[in-house]
Amino acid sequence: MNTNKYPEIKPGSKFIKKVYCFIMLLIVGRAIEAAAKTDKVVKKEVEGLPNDLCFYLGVMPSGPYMVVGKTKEGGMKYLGWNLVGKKINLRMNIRNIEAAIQVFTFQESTATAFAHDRFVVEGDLPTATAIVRILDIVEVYLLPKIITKLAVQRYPKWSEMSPFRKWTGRFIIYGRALGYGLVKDIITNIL
Amino acid sequence: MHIPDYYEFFNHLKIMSGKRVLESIPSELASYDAYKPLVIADKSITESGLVKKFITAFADTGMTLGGIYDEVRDYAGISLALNAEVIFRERGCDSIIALGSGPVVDVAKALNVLVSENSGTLQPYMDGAPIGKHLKPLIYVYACCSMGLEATGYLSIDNRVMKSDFLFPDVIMIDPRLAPGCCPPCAAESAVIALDHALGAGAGPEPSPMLDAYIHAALRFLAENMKKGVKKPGDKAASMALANASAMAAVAFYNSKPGMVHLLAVELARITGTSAGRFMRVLLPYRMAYMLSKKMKIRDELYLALAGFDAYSSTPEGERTRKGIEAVLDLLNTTKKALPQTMKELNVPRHQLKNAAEAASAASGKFFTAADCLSLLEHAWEGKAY
Amino acid sequence: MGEVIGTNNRILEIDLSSRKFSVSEVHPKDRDMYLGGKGMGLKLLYDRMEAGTDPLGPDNMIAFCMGVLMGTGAPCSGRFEAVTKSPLTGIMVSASCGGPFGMAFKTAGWDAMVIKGKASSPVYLVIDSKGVQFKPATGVWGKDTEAAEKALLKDGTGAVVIGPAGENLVRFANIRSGHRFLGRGGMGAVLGSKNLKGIVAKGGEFKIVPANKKKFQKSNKRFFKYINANAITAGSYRNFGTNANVNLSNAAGILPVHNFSGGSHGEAHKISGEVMANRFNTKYDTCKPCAIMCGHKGTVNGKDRHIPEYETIGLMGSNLDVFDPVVITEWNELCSAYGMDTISAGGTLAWAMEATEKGLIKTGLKFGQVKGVAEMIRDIAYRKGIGNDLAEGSRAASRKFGGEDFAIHVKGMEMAAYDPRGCVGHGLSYAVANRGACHLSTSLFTLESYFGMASPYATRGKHTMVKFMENTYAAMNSLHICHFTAFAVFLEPPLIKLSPTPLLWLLTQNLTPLALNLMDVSLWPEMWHSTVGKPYIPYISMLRFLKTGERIHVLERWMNTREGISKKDDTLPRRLLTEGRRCDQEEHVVPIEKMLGKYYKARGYDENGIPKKRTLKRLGIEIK
Repeated sequence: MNTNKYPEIKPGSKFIKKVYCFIMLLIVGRAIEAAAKTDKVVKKEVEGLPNDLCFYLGVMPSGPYMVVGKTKEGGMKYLGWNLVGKKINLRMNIRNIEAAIQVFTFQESTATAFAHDRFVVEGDLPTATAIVRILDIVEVYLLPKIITKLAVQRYPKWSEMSPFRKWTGRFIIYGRALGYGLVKDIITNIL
Repeated sequence: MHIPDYYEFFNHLKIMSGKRVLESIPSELASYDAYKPLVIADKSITESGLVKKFITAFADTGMTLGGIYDEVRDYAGISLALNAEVIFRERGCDSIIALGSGPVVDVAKALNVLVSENSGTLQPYMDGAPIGKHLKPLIYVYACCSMGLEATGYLSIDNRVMKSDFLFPDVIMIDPRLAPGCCPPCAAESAVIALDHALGAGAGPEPSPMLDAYIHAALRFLAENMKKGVKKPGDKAASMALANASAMAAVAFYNSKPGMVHLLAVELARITGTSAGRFMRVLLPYRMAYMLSKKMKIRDELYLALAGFDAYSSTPEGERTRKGIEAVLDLLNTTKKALPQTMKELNVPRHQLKNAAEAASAASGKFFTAADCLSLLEHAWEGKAY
Repeated sequence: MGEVIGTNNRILEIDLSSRKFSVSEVHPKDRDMYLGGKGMGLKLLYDRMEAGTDPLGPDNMIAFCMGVLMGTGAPCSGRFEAVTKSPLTGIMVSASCGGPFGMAFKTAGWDAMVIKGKASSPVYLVIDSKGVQFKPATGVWGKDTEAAEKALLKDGTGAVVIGPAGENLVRFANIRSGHRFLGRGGMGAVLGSKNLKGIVAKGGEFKIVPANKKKFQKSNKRFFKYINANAITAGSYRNFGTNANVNLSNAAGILPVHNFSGGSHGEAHKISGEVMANRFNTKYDTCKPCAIMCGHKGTVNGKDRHIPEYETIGLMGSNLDVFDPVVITEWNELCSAYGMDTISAGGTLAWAMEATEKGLIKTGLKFGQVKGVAEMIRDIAYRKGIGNDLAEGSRAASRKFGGEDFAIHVKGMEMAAYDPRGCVGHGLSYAVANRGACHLSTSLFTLESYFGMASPYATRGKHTMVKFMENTYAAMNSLHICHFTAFAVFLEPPLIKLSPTPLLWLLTQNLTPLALNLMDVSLWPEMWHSTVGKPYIPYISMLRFLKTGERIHVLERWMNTREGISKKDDTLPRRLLTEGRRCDQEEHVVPIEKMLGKYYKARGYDENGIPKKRTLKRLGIEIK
């Protein structure tokens, strides 16, 4: 039999989807850092997290990743996309790039994705759920209501988050996330 | 609810169904510590280009596909498995993915036995030697239709059947990109097989609660989706439902005694070379009528599953059985344009009926008598009501 | 001695159950529409038999029909045809034989015979011009064909007999007459199922004379001239027998090797007709009368033996990887004695060898190994052990044990020794042939692989060629005249003979209908018309003759579709459709789908391969 008729196949790469996820993760990572300084609910959540927390959210099996750690001051810090040399104690993986795209294009909410087993969590589960809650709030700030509604489990009511608080928070978080710090982060990560 | 004195239920299968499920194959494989699968595929899948979608699921995973062996068509033969074994060993593969329906999965299972047991031949297992250990990971990707035995521990190769718990695929993936059927007959056949398997499993002496759960879900899916799925085999939602029904009915079938219709259909298929699903379509109504005429127990739950709770509760208790059978016949009638409806159309020579009946009776371990089997076949052949 | 002018139209109808017989007449219209031989046999059974009859049941009928030209002295006309429902395929089968029974039966004053029912105990029939005597066959039952025939010939001049294989209902048992056979489709089992050991005809009571002697002599002369001029009929076949095909097939890559895994073999010359003729010092041993003289016998290891035909050599030799002519000759002799078709037996043995190799059955058989084969042939004939399953044919055995992908049959009949991957048009012919994988419904392989008159791999125009040849051959089988005369009649008329082969290639490949119209087959209709005494109108009579062939072919197809044959059956074994061969530089498979649709259209079948009502009406076939 001529086995050459059935060659080995090395599947290619989904470059554009990876870049998209990379950008989303970068912005979300930076936004978590900003929200931890800005929003009191997030602040409170962060306080409850273990002090040495350093987690990543990424896509299996080869990235992209977003590493975020808790600072000594009690805030959050975006630590870049490189896993090397970081003492990570909570790993949140999305199973594959297609699932990540589903989540990051808001076709599937984070909660549904969890239910569909698209996230693989290694580490402390309560911490992971706290982080999902933080992510939900961050999304509320970052995105218009119409999109956020698709992505989060429950959109906060007026009583929980007034439009005033939302809009001021949104400006501040965007300012902090995309400001000078972003450039600094990118440069330090590349170097 | 009645709890039987004793029951067993075995299902090794992990069912994954839904959008983008193909992309989970690499992580599933990785969870079995497997990184280089050999893909056994149906020729029609490579020809229609569907296989490309499958390959892209492996992008960025770093996994290499050991090869796509796409020589399987409508017959599962040991030669195919032996050829695939050569590729499997040459490329150092460690797992198998079956991409397609019936024969593909059978070849994949046979290959799995060959490479896991290192026996070089299947003869000892065909002669009754048990398979004694866990085989390599086998992922079954549902495509187009089902022949009914894929998601079970049955292996039917070269017209011989083996049964072992180890022959179950590890995972079945039902993805809307691959699930839609190619043509109405194909979809109708797999739906009829699922229906027959679910009914056959439900007709056993004392079904277990687990079995009931599977049968009920399978029948509900069929009741709601068969008409649409047969008419428009390309419809994603309906085909997904039928695929799920097939998988569940298969598991139920594995955990019960094969029914008379199944046995007869398989024997007739072997004699005539026409596929078994077509015979099931013709024989099922006669079997139901026979059971009704002999006052054999047909459970009310059949009607509950097929018609829903409202219709069930608004029907007097005494009529539920009859209504249940009517619901089955209605379902079968949805295949009117897709499948032959009478034995005449299937062109079975009358003198072959006896052989089929005897073989089916023997296959059931004389659970069904040859006379009963023959009577069913003769009624069906003559189109005579019970 | 009485004289029969043309045909005498008497049919003998025998009911074995009641041991009675009656006489009926051939309707003149039927004679015109179906000639004699195969056409007449089909028509007789079409009128008398229900669809769905059990081939081995008492309701099955077998018709023996003599050729119209038989006894007239036309070349190669000593042939008769038998038609029945085949126990091997479950559909109609017709087979032709050049044995002495034909002449004895016809000169006993009969044209055809239909046998039905089942005798309560073994019998044989003695036929003379008055009718039939039913004689107990207790002394001959169980004997091999040679001994049985010898015993029966005490009562007449020509006999047909079955051997132990037929008695044991081996599905490919054949019927012997002299050293020629009604080979394919298990006719021997049909006689066996009726408890009929043989039939013997007294013969010599009538003389057959053509109605228009002058015209007949003229055509006859031309016929002899063509046959004696053709390189095949007067050359290779006359000198070496049909196994002159071995070298041609080997060179063209259509010789079956290793159960149709390969198309040529380095040792094939050892079993070729040329080598055997020298080695065994062969002499003629043919049908009578014959002008080609392809049948041979020789001295093999000091014993008188019939030299195997090409199909036997291919299926029991190269297809089993055996290249020893002595062994093949012995196996051939064994099959003859037991009364078994060598093509089906060879095909089934090859399947058994491969199934053993793949661990599906245990037989001890092995490709290239002589040991065990003769024993297995005996076991099949007597249905012992695994031989009982092999006696059902490769289709039934593969359905039981698996290995359907390498069971080389079409519609249940094992394939003859031409691998269609080297001649795709012939592949189409195999797929659509009425009786199964039959090499005699057309012989397209000669044009494609031997003579270079058509491209062996192109599909264009092949459906037209197949249709034309099927029509011609069906008509020939009804005359009945030897197939090999086609070489002479097709190729010897001046227009074809003088045209250079490349030009013919271009024509057949690109302008197929025109090329086929250039083929002058007028000789056959001329002989038919002069024999029965009808006026011959040039060209128009030839077209009518071809239409008759079409009618016979479509009638057979129609009878088969009533038994359930449709497009699903018009296919080739999986191996030929999917596996390439090492002997080809580029791997070829048979693109059957490409040709099938066009063929159906040309034939007037619907897309499922069932003859349309319109087609049947046009051909005058009554729908039942």
